[in-house]
Amino acid sequence: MGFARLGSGRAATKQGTGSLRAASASERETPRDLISAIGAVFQEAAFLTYAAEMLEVGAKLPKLTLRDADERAVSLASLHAERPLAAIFLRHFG
Amino acid sequence: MQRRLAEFEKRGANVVAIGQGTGAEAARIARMLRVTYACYGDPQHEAYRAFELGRTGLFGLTLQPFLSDPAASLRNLTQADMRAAASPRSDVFRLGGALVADRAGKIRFLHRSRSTTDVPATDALLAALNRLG
Repeated sequence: MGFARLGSGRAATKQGTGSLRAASASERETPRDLISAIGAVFQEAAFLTYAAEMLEVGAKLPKLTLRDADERAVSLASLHAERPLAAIFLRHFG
Repeated sequence: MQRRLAEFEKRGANVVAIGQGTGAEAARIARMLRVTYACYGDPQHEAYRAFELGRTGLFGLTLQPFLSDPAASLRNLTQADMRAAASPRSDVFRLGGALVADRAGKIRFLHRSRSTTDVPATDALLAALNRLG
């Protein structure tokens, strides 16, 4: 999952840069800190590559089937066939 | 979106909501939220996955919304559908989003929420519809 990866990447970056900052402040940086920070940067870069492959503006809608209130199958394509589509994804909680 | 539904209709848009769960569950949520536009169910979360909508964690679901936007957080809580949240088909950590697509099925606007209180601005959706001409 993209956002999970983003989250972990950022957390790692934060942790990595935080480590660097703390290390430089106390002049106690170790090769391990540096490797950790560099690794976090690569992890973030890997996510950005992955993110570039995500559905974005300009892409075609994927072929999907939803269910109406009577549990009948409704294709996503049918929702924009005659009019532009404005859709929101709901959360169930909070 | 419901409050400004007329503006969407004026632009000729087909406004829909997509919810986790069955079609009947999505319709129940629509009644609960008092929305008059169509709500569709996505019981296998295929649409959520296809659009790479994110997931939050326990902190993001509980404390973070209260700290970042207490008003929106309380509003969300009052609108929470506990019954649906308890459904095995529900993923309470899944975040929402919004999109605008033209008649050819090309995505013209896409918003993936980064937190539970991150709701796409209605103006942004309307602006995307305006750009369709």
